[in-house]
Amino acid sequence: MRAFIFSLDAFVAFTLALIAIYSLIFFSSVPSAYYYMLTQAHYLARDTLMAASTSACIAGGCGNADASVLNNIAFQTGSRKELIRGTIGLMVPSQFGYSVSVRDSAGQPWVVLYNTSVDDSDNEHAKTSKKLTVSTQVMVFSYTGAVNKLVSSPYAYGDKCSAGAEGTTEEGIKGSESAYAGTLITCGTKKMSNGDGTYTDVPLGNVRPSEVLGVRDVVPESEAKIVKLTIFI
Amino acid sequence: MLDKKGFLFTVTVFLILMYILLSISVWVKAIESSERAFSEFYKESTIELTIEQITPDKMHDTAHVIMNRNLQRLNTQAEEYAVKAGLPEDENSHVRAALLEMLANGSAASEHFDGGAALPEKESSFKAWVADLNDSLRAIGVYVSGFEISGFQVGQSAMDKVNYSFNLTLELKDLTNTSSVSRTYEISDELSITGLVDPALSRESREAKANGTIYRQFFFDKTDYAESAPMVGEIKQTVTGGQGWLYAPLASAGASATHVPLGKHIFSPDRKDYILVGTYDEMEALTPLVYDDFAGYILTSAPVTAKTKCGSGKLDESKTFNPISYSDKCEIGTDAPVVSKPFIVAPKFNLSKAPECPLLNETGATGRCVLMINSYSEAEVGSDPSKKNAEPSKRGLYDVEDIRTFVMCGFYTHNAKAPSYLQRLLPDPYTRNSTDYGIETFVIGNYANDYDVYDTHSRLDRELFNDLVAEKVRGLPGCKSSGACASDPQPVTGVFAVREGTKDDYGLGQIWCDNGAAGCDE
Repeated sequence: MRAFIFSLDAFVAFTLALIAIYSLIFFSSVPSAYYYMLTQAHYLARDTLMAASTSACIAGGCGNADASVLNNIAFQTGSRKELIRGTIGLMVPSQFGYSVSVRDSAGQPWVVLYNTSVDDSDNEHAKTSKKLTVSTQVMVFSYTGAVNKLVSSPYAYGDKCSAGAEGTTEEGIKGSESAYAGTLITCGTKKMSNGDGTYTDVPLGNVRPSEVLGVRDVVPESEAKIVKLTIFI
Repeated sequence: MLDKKGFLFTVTVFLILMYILLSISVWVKAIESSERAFSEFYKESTIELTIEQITPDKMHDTAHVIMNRNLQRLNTQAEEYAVKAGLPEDENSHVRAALLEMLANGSAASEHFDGGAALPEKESSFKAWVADLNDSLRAIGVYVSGFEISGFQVGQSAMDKVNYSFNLTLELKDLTNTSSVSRTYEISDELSITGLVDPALSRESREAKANGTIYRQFFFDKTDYAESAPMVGEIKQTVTGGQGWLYAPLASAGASATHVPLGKHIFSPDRKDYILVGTYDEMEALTPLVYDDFAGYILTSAPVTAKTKCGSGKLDESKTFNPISYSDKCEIGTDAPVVSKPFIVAPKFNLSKAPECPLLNETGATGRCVLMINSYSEAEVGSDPSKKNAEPSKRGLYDVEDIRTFVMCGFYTHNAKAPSYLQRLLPDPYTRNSTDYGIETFVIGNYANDYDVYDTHSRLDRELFNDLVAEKVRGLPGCKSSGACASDPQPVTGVFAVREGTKDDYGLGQIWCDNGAAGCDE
């Protein structure tokens, strides 16, 4: 009888030991304590990108004030550090770090536009990930470049030609700010290369507008890009 | 008894082991369940994010970008190859079909065009957009499994706007095909044609002259030029005599006025571009050395007259240009000072009320311009001085700044007799017209100055290529003075001319060269 009780006691002890071991394994392998952080970071990244995609771009570094912040981040050329810090950076709490990457299309690698961990001038945000990293992506769709369609007559006849376009919200450039500006519709010319180092003055009205404006198309092709925001906690 | 104890012991051990295994199993399942729930949470969140991305507003913007690009591509194609016309009751059917194909696939079949290839382009279509979207979505376990465009319509909502509408159905699935979301978007919007090249003018001019394609862009001023309405005003003024006709900016011989320079301050070589305005005494004070440099004159003082023995109405004049005098034999003649340039006598003419105009020189400053027209030319008055004061109803001062602005800015305006934008994409555009959205413009400048091709055709675009000679119009490009308008040498701009109907539409009757006043070809 005593042997039985002894054995039973041993098994109970063994069971308790197993429970303790498995509990330790469970709590250490599943980051349940991080669930809330993960959720928070996920919502933060998602909401930040959504806000950027629905906000007009009025921050410093905006190339196209008519497009959203996200479109500017995706489609601008050159450094977008100022723009990202002035928009995304303001939405990410300072205890977190973040990076913004963009990818053109399938097969293209991600291009990191900004990363707090390598920006020595950003002393507010975290530099490294201490607990976890969460990424969210959104797609933006726009023109590959600026729309160069003229929204008003560019010709010089006092200030009357562009008067009718005041307050226009159409995409494009004002005639008075284009390569046509200051030319007379009746007498304007453009120097065109003859291909042998010489040039000929050709009437402006006989030259394709895209050539006068120095662009391939007055309305450029469209393009999709993917923007990824990664939050470090 | 011992055997029984041993059996119970073994059973108990197995029970305990089973309990342990079951417990572990439950824990493992719990962990799996927890992880799955978390994964599901992220998957749902991802689909939610995807759907949030594809909001009606986003689809609206995406469609606008694609359609704006495709309209320009179609327009560029139509600069060389017209879009085929459909049946009379639906003449835009090929335009609609081409735009729909471009919207869906990025290319339009060649069957929609009169010659020329299809329009291939990888991007700028929903097909490309969905492919790009899937590239991003597959990484997060979601993809667009299909899309469908239905009810596609294209038309015009204004003379300068093309509108479109369609329904787009998108279906999203997760990669395991366990979740699926389908949405239909009703999309409608309009595109501006401002800044696009006029395809009708390009095509027709290419046919008229090799290497002479005219690239005019659509520009509108719907505030001031919504309709093809009269654009010439008569400056109400008593005009008692003069000779010839001239359009030019004004310079003052005496009193200064806003936007009117003093004649004596104008650099001598530039004076030929101005009309000198002042009383006879003011002109005389400048001396012929100065006033002879000007292109013409407006005398704001009436001649001093004296009775003669030759009868009533036959008065000797003085203190005016080309004063009439009667000889002892009552033969009419002209005394000094004699000028051979255009002038008009308008005693109450107010310089500061003359219409403002831009000076077409390097300064780009604002001046004041008028078109003065007399009953007879300088030559006619020279040979018969009595014509200087004859037929007062044919002479006057005119404000032509409205029509000049319309022409010089290259604006288009509405005329029910003209083709609309969509009709300009079709073959034989100038045989078509649209009551609501017909548009027209004037074509005048060095880009359309080949007299072998255009001669003195009407400069209205829809009349330019019909080989019918039109009548020149005073005060407009190529016809600012009789010397320039006479076409010898031919003006570099070509000569502005219109036909009867256009003369009436734009109210040009008072200033066109066939109105019986001083002519344009002398």
